[in-house]
Amino acid sequence: MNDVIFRLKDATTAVGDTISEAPPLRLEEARKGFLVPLAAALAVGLAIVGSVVMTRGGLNQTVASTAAPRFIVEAREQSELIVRGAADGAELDRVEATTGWLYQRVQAALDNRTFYALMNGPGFCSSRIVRFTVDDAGRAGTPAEVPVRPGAQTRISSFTVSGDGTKVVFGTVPCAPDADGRGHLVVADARSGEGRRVEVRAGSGFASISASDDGSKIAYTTMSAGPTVVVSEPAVVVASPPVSQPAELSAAPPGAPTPSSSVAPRAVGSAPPGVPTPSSSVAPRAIVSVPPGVPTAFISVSPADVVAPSGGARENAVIVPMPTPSTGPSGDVVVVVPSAEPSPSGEIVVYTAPTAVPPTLGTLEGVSSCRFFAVRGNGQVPADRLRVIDCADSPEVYVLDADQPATPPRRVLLSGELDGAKVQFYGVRMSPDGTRLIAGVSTGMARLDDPQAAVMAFDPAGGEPAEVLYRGRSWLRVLDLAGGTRVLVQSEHEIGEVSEGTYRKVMDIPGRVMDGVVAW
Amino acid sequence: MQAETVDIALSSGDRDEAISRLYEEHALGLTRLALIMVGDRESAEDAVQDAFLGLHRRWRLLRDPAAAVPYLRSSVLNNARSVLRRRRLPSWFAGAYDPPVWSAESAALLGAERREVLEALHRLPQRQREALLLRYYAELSEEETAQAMGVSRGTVKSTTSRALDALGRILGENA
Repeated sequence: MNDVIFRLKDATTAVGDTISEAPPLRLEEARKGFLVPLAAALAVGLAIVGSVVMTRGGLNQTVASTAAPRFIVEAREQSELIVRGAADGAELDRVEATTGWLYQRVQAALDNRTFYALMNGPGFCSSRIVRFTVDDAGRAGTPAEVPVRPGAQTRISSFTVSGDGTKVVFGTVPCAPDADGRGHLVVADARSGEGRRVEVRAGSGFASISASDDGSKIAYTTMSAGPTVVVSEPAVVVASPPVSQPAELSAAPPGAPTPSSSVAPRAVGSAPPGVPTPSSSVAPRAIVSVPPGVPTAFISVSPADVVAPSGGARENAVIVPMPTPSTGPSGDVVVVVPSAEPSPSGEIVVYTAPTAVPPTLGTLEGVSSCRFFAVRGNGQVPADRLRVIDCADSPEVYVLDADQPATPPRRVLLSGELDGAKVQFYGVRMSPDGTRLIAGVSTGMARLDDPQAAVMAFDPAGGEPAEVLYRGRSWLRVLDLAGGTRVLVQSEHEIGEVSEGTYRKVMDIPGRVMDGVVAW
Repeated sequence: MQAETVDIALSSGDRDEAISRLYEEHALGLTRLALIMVGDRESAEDAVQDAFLGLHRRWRLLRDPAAAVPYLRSSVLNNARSVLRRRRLPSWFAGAYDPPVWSAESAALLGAERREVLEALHRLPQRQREALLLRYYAELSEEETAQAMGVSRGTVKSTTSRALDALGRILGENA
């Protein structure tokens, strides 16, 4: 071995010594010389990402710090937080919740030593945010309450902390039957709790909230209030197991707004902790397949309203009339009914793999906005079944400038393509400098056999893609950013890190990781 | 609550001076390291320049001036990875790019035996190659290597061990 080391040192030193001096330092920003060869990279870049502009350095425009986080805090067990090493996910410490309270979400400050957690209390309207620190060995201190309070008859649905730690941004939603039904986004001083409230449409809750390092730019997404999905392109939407009741699909009222892209339903079992789920939430939301060219329509599907399977389709699929004048060639909608079998874990719903649609609808182009994960011979689920591990987020992101009190949140509709296929969105974060929205994207809906995923930066002005920061896995969900250069992601059943164009596995994790469940 | 980022409060002039000083002290070593990784001087110099440019942009966010050098090492590594990754792209339609250090023109300069080691080194997985270079060329400690690579010290130890085994095997095969 010493001989190998000696030869290695000798050879590398000989190469290194061929350079005797470094060129003068140049600090001008415009230098992009080591994009070699530019024309070739540009051509390939265009081929890969269509209209996406690939620029060297990837995260350059979103960067704040490259210090590697040492700790990840996980809130999956709710009764306690787990402090893990960011290198390998090894458990370092646990932080037990106060009796009667459960951890819901966790966020990290930029120093990766100060962490914040959202807790829900015994009452449905009780929630609070606590702060604790970890030392260099990963040992956690005692959590202390941050003096922020939701309004009366509201609870905190989601939150984030600005990178500089001066602001806590949280979303509140009504939690009492006689509440006024309005959601609020609150930007509060972390020390005093004083802040500004902005009334927003939050549906049944905030899916995610993120902020720039200085807290001035905030991005948030919301959860839909009911089992309403919007269909504007071919998609398969999954409904609950059939019952013997007549179908009743209702179109949107005339004049209803018509988004230009589909809004993804959420999978059963993926409701974030603390979020109230409707009584029907044990059944998945409906997913509807519409042939190309069908105009956008709101389709409300009550899980109990889907008719039983009929002939002409797969065993577990039914054809139901699409109750809107804007029908496609056949006027039909395919509803794929999930298996009644319980999932092995009790948390993941198993659906029959939809592989075909009636010829009248053409070729199946995708399977909902949920990610299906093929079971690979673990014996727990039949091989012809797929697991839902994740459903896409809404492409609707709201951006708020906290420094402009008079300016209401602005709606941004993200859109992008990979290899010519439209992408769905999986986790979105405001970049540290507030100039980009960083999102996980995937073509899994359109390219069932060959899903492609990426981490992309979007321009918050128009929702257009600005950079591809990483590409190389089939599934990616953005979970957290550390200084902008290091993106914590879920990829299938792994938690990993995307940094400077490479992916590194941190640890295994079963099932879907919701927003705010891990942070670094 | 205190701000999480401690601004070291240097003026832009102080910043430029500090970075210039760092460049004087470390640019040559980093360029040599990058050269071994990417194989050609121009790319190596650009990787280092870009690292300093990045440091210049982010200086305000640097919590500890002592972290500047580890940052630069890590940044050079990342930039070198980007060079290697992008170098693969043109080969799809323009043939593989063979940088000077790995090409025949370097044979006379380096000697056959050294070239054999370098070729073996570049047959290793990227992470193993980086671990070997940081440990045995740059002579960093395991802790410093871990910091530069963004991995744990244990990972550095195991990766280095595997890399040495693999390098020995490749060189043995060629013997």
